[in-house]
Amino acid sequence: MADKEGYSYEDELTGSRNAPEYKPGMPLKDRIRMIHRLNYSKEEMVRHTANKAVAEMVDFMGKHDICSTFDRFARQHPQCGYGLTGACCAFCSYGPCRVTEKTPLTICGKDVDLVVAGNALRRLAAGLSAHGAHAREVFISLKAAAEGTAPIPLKCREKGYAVAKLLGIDVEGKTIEKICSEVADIFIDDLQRALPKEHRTLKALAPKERVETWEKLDIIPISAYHECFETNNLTSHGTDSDFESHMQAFLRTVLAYAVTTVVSTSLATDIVYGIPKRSRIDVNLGSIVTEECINVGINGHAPMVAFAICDIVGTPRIMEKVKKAGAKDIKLYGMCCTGGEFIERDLGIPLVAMASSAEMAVATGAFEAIVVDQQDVLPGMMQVARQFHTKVVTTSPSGRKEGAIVLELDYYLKNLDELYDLAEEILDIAIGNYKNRNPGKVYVPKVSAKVEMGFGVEEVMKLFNGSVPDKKIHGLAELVKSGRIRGIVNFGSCGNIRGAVFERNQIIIAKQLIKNDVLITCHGCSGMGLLFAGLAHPDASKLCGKRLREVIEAKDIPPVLHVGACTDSTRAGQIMAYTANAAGVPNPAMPFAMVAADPAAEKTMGARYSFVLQGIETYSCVQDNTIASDRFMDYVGNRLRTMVGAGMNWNPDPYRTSEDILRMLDEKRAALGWPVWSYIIGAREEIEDRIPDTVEIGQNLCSIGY
Amino acid sequence: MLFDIEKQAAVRWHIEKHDVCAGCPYLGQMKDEESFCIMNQNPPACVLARVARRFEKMEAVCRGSGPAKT
Repeated sequence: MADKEGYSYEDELTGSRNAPEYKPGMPLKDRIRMIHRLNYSKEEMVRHTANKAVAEMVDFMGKHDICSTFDRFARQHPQCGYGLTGACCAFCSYGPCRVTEKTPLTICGKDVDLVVAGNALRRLAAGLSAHGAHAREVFISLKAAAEGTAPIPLKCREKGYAVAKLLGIDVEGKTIEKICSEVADIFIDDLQRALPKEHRTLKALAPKERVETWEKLDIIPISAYHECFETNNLTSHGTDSDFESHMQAFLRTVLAYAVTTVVSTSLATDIVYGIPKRSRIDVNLGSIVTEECINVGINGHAPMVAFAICDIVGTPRIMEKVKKAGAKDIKLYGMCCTGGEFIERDLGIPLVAMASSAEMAVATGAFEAIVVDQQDVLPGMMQVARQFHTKVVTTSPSGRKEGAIVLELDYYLKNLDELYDLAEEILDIAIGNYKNRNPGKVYVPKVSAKVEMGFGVEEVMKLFNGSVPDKKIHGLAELVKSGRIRGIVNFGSCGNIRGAVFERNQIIIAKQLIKNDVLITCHGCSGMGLLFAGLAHPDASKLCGKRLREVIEAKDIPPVLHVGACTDSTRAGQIMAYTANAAGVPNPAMPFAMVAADPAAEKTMGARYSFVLQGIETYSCVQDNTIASDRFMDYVGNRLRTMVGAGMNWNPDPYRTSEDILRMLDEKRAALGWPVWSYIIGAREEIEDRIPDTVEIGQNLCSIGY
Repeated sequence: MLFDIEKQAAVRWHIEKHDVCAGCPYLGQMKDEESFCIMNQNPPACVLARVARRFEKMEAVCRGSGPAKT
């Protein structure tokens, strides 16, 4: 293949799956070839995914001509090589311009480094906007709950007080409502400010050592809205053309993302909707009840309508309607991050799918309604829903779907006081639709996993001798120092099918890590993969190394602690920071890591770099479309390490990634003088489970829509 | 052994459970261990219980169940 002159994507289909390693200076066509090689066919996905429910559903959908993400993915091949590597600039109408060895500059004169940095910056800003919109809704609900302008209860007033103390609010003589209202004001101000002012959330909640590092780098954001505004301005036609300035804006935007739209959001959600509570529940598609039960799926991120539905679903008034419709029960099911929020809080709502597999849940034909709001609700879901009786209801003006029923919160928030009427109306639609269900079209794979949930920071503090006022988790620090736990690794981000087998990489890495005594926290869609694989149950202790096994069996906890939805990376960050605090060691020196195995949505770019800026090494198996620029790759992989103490690592092989992580943890342990012991990567059968070298893309696709 | 490591690290803020602790998210109750407070509060004077109106609820229960005062 190498001796052929021309490059053809088809050549790669019989190529070795052991991807060549990225080397600075390699020609662009080799970079494109390298990324192309990492794709997998639908059949390989079905054969190798760890989520057997998804495998069964993809097969079922193929047989019944229902189009899935996997079909659309295969139809996209070969994907544009310039887009894949980030060497394409399509910001202005001069373009699109591709930047190659032959044409090293765009029409306006940008080189490849600037094009890649600009693309990354715009993507980051889109992610910031997405999480920012989520944050805005949570802050609005906190403010409305505190001031009584909407019928939303404050479910954890104690957390409101604790957060107020953290933010330095004077609480003397004030009611809890007043305190929570002031908390909301600070969060909203840091979200939307146009003029420079002290970033109170950042100063109060980030470790002092980190704040000093960020101040030295001059990357303290003005506000989330402003950084979003500024990144788009900076990358607009003929504005900023300095790579360093692009990257400074990049880091500032990451901080705005991390503090305002993730940390504040998670804390505010806990105040309004309650903190996580330990509970056990079944997850995955097999937990769907098909007999005489009205099923409602809730997918998305925004909590207001979702939790209102949850509050009223079991009330006598609704149950009476259910009985009249001829069913015995009505059940809610969570998907994506709203599902993550539900299962954390012991509401008895099973999680059945993550973002990319939500349309497979729809294809079970068992849902009367799917309630969706914003982010990660794939448009393809509508095509699937049309083939069943399932009605899709949109509840956010930011996330409408062509053909869906619109029952949403007003854009100008005029109907906040009618929240529960809206929720009841949505349930009425589901109840009324029950008669249209065709039992002959219902197909639910009998695949589910038992999990233990609810490991919020408070729960971890109770387990490991933590103290909220001290911001320390003493027990965990001692276990890490003494060599019972090798390190703590957090798993987050989405699931991707480009460059990875769906729900496989994160599971391989997690299994290798717990086998080598690493405690795992997880959240978001990537974390859901670990739940579906059964790793978040105390029985998974048998997969752990001897040292970790002792700890988790003594505590009766799983080796994988699920901490919540995507914004709840806050909890993982807090657990790490408080452990570091108790050990008296700064974050970058601690044996910590973040794994975002298969990032997909724009939001995950901010999520991963947030951990890097906290001084935590971050690892991915799917590349970010930035590989065309050596300068960018060097900046995030090497220079950041000298600036903030951690960098971004990319390796498509999950076994090699696991090894990289373990090596890094041991290096940090050795540097601190803490015990180090050998690690083992991959049992023989696991290595043999590696994807074979031949690829057949595009077989057995559905015909609908093409 | 494990628990020894933890106890050497820091002493828990053990408390005598009080009515205001019922349902408190910061009340620690581990197996074979006294109750403890992860907010390091003394229950009869707990600031959190005060702002969250847990004392008021307790008084309301007492008022409701006690004999009528004349």
